[in-house]
This record gives sequence, structure tokens and C-alpha cells, in this order.
Amino acid sequence: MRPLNYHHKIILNNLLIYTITIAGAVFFAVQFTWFNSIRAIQNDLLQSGLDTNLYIQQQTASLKTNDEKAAYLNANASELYTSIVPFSRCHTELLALDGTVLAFNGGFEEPMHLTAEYEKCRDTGEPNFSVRNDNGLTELWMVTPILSKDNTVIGYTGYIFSLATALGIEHYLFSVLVITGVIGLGVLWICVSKFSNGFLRPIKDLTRISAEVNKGNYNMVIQYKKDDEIGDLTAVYNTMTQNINNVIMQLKSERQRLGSVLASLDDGLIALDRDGNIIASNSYLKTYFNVSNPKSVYDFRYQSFLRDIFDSLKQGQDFISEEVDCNGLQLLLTGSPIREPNVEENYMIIIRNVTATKTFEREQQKFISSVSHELRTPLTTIIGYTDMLKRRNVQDPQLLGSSLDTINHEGHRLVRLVDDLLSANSTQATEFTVRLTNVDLDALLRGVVDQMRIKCWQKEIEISYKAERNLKDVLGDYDRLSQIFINIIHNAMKYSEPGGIIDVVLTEENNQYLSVSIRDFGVGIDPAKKDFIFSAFYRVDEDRSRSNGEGGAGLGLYLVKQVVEKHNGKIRVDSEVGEGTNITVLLPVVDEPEDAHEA
Amino acid sequence: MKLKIITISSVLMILVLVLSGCSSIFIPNDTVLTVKPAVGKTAVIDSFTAAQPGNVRCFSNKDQYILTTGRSQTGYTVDQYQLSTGTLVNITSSETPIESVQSTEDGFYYLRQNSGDATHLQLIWSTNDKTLEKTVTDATEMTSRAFYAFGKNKAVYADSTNQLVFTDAAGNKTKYGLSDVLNVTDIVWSEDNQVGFMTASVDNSDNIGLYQILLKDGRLLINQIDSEVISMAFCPEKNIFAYICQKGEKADLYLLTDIRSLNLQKKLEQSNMERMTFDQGGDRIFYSLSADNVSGIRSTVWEYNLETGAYFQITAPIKLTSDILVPAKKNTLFYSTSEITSMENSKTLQNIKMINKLDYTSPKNE
Repeated sequence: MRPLNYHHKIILNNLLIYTITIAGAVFFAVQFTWFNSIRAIQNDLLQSGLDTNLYIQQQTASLKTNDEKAAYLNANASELYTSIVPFSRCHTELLALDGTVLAFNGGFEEPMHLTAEYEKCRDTGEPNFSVRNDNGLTELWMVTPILSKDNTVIGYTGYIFSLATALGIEHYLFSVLVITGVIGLGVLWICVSKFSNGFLRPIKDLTRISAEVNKGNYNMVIQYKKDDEIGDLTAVYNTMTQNINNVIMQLKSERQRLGSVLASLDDGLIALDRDGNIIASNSYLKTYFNVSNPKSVYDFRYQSFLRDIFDSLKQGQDFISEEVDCNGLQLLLTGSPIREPNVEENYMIIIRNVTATKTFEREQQKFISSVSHELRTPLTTIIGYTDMLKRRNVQDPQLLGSSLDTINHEGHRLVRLVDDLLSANSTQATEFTVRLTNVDLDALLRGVVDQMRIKCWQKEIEISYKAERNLKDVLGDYDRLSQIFINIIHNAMKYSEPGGIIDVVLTEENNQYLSVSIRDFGVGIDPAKKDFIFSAFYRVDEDRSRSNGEGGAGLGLYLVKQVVEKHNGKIRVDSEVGEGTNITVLLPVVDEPEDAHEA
Repeated sequence: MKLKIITISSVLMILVLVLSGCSSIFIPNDTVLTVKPAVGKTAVIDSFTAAQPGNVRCFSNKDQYILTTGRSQTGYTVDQYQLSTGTLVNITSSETPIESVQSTEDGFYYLRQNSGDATHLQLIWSTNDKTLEKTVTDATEMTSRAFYAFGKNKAVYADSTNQLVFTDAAGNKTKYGLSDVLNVTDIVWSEDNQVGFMTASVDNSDNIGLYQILLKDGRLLINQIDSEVISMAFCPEKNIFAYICQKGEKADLYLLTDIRSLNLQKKLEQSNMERMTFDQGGDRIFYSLSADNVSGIRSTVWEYNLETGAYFQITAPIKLTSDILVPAKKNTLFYSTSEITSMENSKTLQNIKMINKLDYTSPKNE
């Protein structure tokens, strides 16, 4: 059977208490009423007995002995009885000393034998009574002694008092109390039901809202405005949920902030508890390890180094650092414990992608090595020739002239190398600027081609230039644009054999760009290396570039790309090994004003 | 669970008891029980006689006899009941009913109805030997039965014009006006203190008030003392005054030992107190209680001792028709009762008033 709910319990408890109370009250009310009725009747009958005593004393006052008085009583019972009957309002009997009924009346045909009462009265000398229920009649039977002046018993008076009236009153009282009790029970039931509904309503609201809070809805408020204990409870509850809501919002905000901070970190981060569960992390875990929503360190199946670091930290190591290769990346992992007072020890692992750094270090090493070599080579030549001239005291003008030419050439080469290094450095500077003016690219290229023609002739390379007519200007830095085209042509020369051809073509593309194409028919570039030719310090063929005396730091095309991008342009490389290379530079044209066109 | 069992058992038990016919648990059926009497003490009757007919009125001045009134074949009589012999001697008679008799130093005043006019009364003074008799009031002067004899053949009464009249045996009167609304029903007077008391109703209402009356500088001053007064009594020997008034369901008896002050002392409280008198010495008050538990109108006579405060019943319920006269320092009552004849069931009740003399012994103090 389903247990009773609190509402029903309140009602039942109240009804039970009321029933017990009313039943008890009815019981005791009836009992005491009956008792008091009997007592009142007793007192009346006792008074009647006293009155009888006084009367008979009065009538027998002249007699000297008790026996005479008793005899007088016996002899004059009828007359005496007539006089004492009015003293009580019930059936009265005059009894002799031996209990014989001397006179009676009261509507009875025969005397009532108050034997038991008489015997006890005789024995005790005190009035005695009993309540008798005989043939449906309830009566009080009493016998009192008739005393002479010296308290000697000379006879008895018996009374039989009908308790019908008292009983009727008692039954009436009982009925009234029971009916009142039943009516009260009904009224109580209604009142308690209503009261308990009202009383439980805020509790039900409390329950409902608690369920909502349990679901995470902390904005619920209990509407109970009365100033009582329930009102105090609901006020406190509302304050509590509001505080919880505020704290949760605060925590969410903190978490979001933390998430933002973690997301903004350039490094990956995992915070672990003592069981290896992830407390916090950022998205780099997915990036580096390709693991989504890990819950613990043990979810990284292929990254055992994380578990190893965790185990080491758990064993008490204060700091641990390790470099690993993972998915083509070089990662630096540093782990340390997080220790706060009164907080369980947790652990943090920072994952830093040092691939670029390592690459840069390697490139830097290569650059230093390359630069060192490039610097050493002309310096060695210069020193060699100067040593020779000094040592041999060369007088031969031809030898002297060629040696000096060589020294001069190598010196220029050093200067170019230093210029390239400075240019590369300047493009890295934040203040690398270009002075933009309208540039006639056709005129610029003609100048560059003329400038490079001599060098090409020296290497037996033919250079040609073609341009479309009526081309628009570009907005650019004349000197820098000149430099980049010099660098591209220079590069083309480097990788062309003697007898080769370099074609420079200027066209307009899509009415938005001017396209400068510099085509050589040299060795070409391995497709695998094509994307690196614009990287700093990168040279496709180290040996080749050094052997023909050109050398370089690998910065030329890097500089070209920087300058083209600074001009909002694009650069493109098309090359095939053995077929040559075509480098195309696109520069945005300057839109002429309409009135100018009209002009 | 345990509590539920106890609760349900208690409920069932109570219901069984309640519904079991309401038998009293305090007074079981068919069981004889001894009762310790809770009623009051009673006197012990030593002797009793009811030999002479008559209605007891007052002691004579010399205490040798009691003046009574009675009926004769010729009319209404004033008689002397000789205390020593118990014999009855006729003093005077009247054709009209004699309402009241009070003794004075040399004689007595008696109040009789006017001939042919029952509403008016006449106050008559007579010597004890009836050698001299004077009608003190005019024919229509008195309608109230309130009069009081005092001192040397003097009396005070309320006349029909709402005046208080002080008179002597010669008919010399001094009158004082009363309020028109007061209807005097009884009066007593102390000549020595010039203070008296009267009971009166206001506009004939049922509420009888008690008033103190003072003669000061020739003026009559009236102070109301109480209301719902049942009876009053004055003891000229000690100049003490007492009265009974109704207080709720009970009656209170108040004593005034200094009749000029209003320093009332409540002495007794009992239900159904009726008339009262002092004994001649002023040491005791005798009063009657209406007996409710008896058939008919009967009263019991009680004694209240002013010194000890003890009170007890003296007589069985009797049909008391007179005041209770008690000599000083004696346990003897003189009173009259009505003896109802066999003609009780007829429309005309025949009362034979008998003079009762009862000697008793006071109950022992326990």
C-alpha cells in the first residue's frame, strides 16, 4: 500500500488527536456529570435524613430512653411517615431497627427492600447508598440512620430516588457532545484540509522549484510573501538559489575566461588531478595529438610520453622536460605539480610546438654556415691574391691587372653579399617601408634589362624584352621594384647554361594586374623544392650556386617575395627540371581617373 | 509503529468505555457505598411543645410573655403567651385582621386593617392591661405595614403620603418627607443614636433596597446601603443591625456593629436565606432557610453565633409563619407554624397557627 503523503498525515493526525480528545472529553464530561448528579442527589437525601432526624427528635424529645423512642417510632410510624414524606421528593420508607419496613408509599404497592443498604448502614452507622439498574429503571437507593439526641440509632429512613431525570440529562449531554463532536470533526476536517493545503503549498512550491534547480534552472523564485516561519524559509531558499545562481554564473564566467585564456595560449596545456583526470585543457590537444574531448591522460593511446610525465610528477618529481616527435611536429613538454594549501596536488603539462624554432635554428645554422662560407670564399681569394702580389712582388702588368681585377671582383661580391644580408634584415624590420609612386613598369624593365644585358653577354646568355603597348602604371617603389627584377634575372642567369636565353615579358592581366614574366631555359627546379625557393637562405643547388662563383645567401628570391607582397602583388613560379623556370610577378595597376582617360 | 498501536488501542478503549452505556467508573452499579455526610451540623432537640394556637410576634417589654396574634370566634386577638406557664391570655381583640404587634415600655403598638378597607391600616397603642388604648393614625394615614415601636411608647411608621412619622402614644407626631418613589416595606429605629434603617422599593419594583436614615439637625438623611434585601433585624440592646440580601444564587448576611457608620461585615453566605432576628441579647442571629428539597413551602431554622461564627440547623422543615423569638442566652426558640388540615385540597386553606416552643442543645464543636 502506498504510504500516506504529508497532507493526508496532517489531516489524519489532527482528526485522530481531535477524536481522542473529544472522546476523552465526552467520557469524562459524562462521567463527572453523572457523578455530580449522584452527589447532588445524595446531598439532598442526606439533608432529608437530617431533617427526619430533627423531626423525630422533636417528636420524641419528651421520651427518656432510646427504647421508648424506638417503640414510639414503631407505634407512630404512619403519622411520622406522613410528616417526613415532604422532606424528600422520592419514595421514602421508615424502617425499624431490625430493618422492617414500618411505613412506605411513594406510589409503590409494596415496600422496596433496601436490604443491602440497610445492613451496611446498620453495620457502619453511616448513611449508605447504591445505584441500581433493575428492569430498565436506574435508581439511587439510600438508607440513613435515625439518631436520638445521644446519637443512638432508633430507626432508619430509606429512600429510592429515580435517576431517570439525571440519566436523561446524561444521555442528552452525551448526545449533544457526540453530535457536537461529529460536527466539529467535520469542521476540523475541512479546516485542516484547507489549512494543510495552504501550509503545504509553499512546501510543494519548494519541492517543484528544487526540482528545477536540480535541473540547473537557478532563476526560480518561490512566491510566498507571508511573514511567518515558511516565509522565512522561502526567503532564505530564494536567497540561497540566487546565491547559487550567482556563483554558478561566476564560475561559468571564470571557466569561460579560463577557456579564453587557455585558448589564447600559444602552447597546449593539460591540467590533471591525482587520478589522471583532465581538469583543464585547450584545443592544442586536438591539434597536436588528434584526440577529441579526452577525459583522462589515459585516453591518449598513442602518446605514452604524457602518461610517463604524469607518472613521474605523481612520484614526486618537481619538474620534468622532454622533447618528442609527434605527428611530424617537434614538441617540448614540460610538467610540474600544482601545489596549493588545503588543495589536493594536481599536475600541469605544457606542450610547446618548437618545430618552427627547430627549423629556424636549423636554417640559422645553415645560413651562418652558408654566410660563413660565402664570406670566406671571396675573402680567401682576396687574401690569396694580395698575399701573392705582396709575396712575389709581381711586376708583370698583365698579371697584376688580372689579379687586381679578381680582387676587385671578389670585393664586389662581398659587397653584394652584405647588401643582400642588409636588405633581408630590413624586410624583417617593422619599419620596412616602400615609397609608393606611379611607376611606368615598362620603362623600369627596359632599364633593368639594359643593365643586366652586359652581365648576360658576359655569360653568353641572351636576354630579350617584350612589352604590350599602352600599359597602365603600377603603384610602387621604383628602386625596390628594380631590385627585385634584377634579383630574378640574376637568378635566371645563375641557373642558365652559356648560350641560354632569358625572356622578359610585360603584359596586362585581367585589366587589374601587370604581369612580368621572366623565363629562363636553364636547369629548372625540382617540383619538391619549388615551394621553398622564396624561403630565406634557401638555395636549390648549393654546390652549383657556389661553383660558378655566384654564391649568395639564398635571400634573393626571399627578398623578391617580400617586396612583391608589400606591393599587394603576387609571385608565381612555374618550372620543370631541364626545361627551365618561369617566374611571374603580378602587380596591381593604378586605376586612372575617368577624366584623365577622357583627357 | 508502536505509537500507532498504542494510539489505536487508546481510541478503541475510550470508544468502548464511552459507548458502554456510560456506566460511571466513579460510582459503580449495584455496589453499596458508605457516604460521609457533607451537610452541616444540627442541634439536638431537647424538648418540643406546640400546645397553643397563635402567631408569635414579639417579646413583651418585661420579657414575661410573648405577644401573639390569633383568631377567635369573634375576631382577631392579641394575646399574651406566658413564658413560665405556656398559657395564653387574651389582651385585646379586633374585628379586622391584626397585621403586626410590637411591644413598648408600657404597652404595645398593633397594626390592624381598617374596618371595611383592607388597604388602609391603623396604628393603635395600648397598655398591656388594655386600660388605655389610642389610635395613633388617621383612617387613611397608613397603607404600609412598616412600623417600629421603640423607647417609651414611641413608634415610627411610613404613612401613605411618603412621610416618615415619629409618634408617641398620645399621637404627637413629627413627620419627615421621603422621596415619592420610595415605598417603605420595613423600618427599625434607634432612639439613642437617632439612626434607623428601612427597606423600600422604588416605584413598587421587586427590588427592595436598604437605606440608612439619620436625623441630623432636624433633617432626615437617607443613604442607600444595598439592594435586593430580603430581611433585616435590629437589636436595641446592643444597637447592632443585620440584614440579608440576595447575591446571585446565594444570600449574604451582613452585620453592622456601629449603626452610624456603614462598616459592613459579611458574616454568612448561604442559599435561600429568608427572615432573621437577633436573640434578645444580641449574641446570636436566628434565620430561616427555604427548604428546596421538600414538598411545599417549608423552612428550616438555623442559629448563627456572632461570636464563634458557628451556624447549624435547629429544626426540620416547618411551615414557619412568624419571626423566631429567642431569649438572651437561652437555647429556646419560640415560633409559629402553620398546620395544614385535611381540608388542604379544598380551595380555602385553613391554617391553624400553632405556637411552638423548642429547646435544643448546640452541636459540639469538632
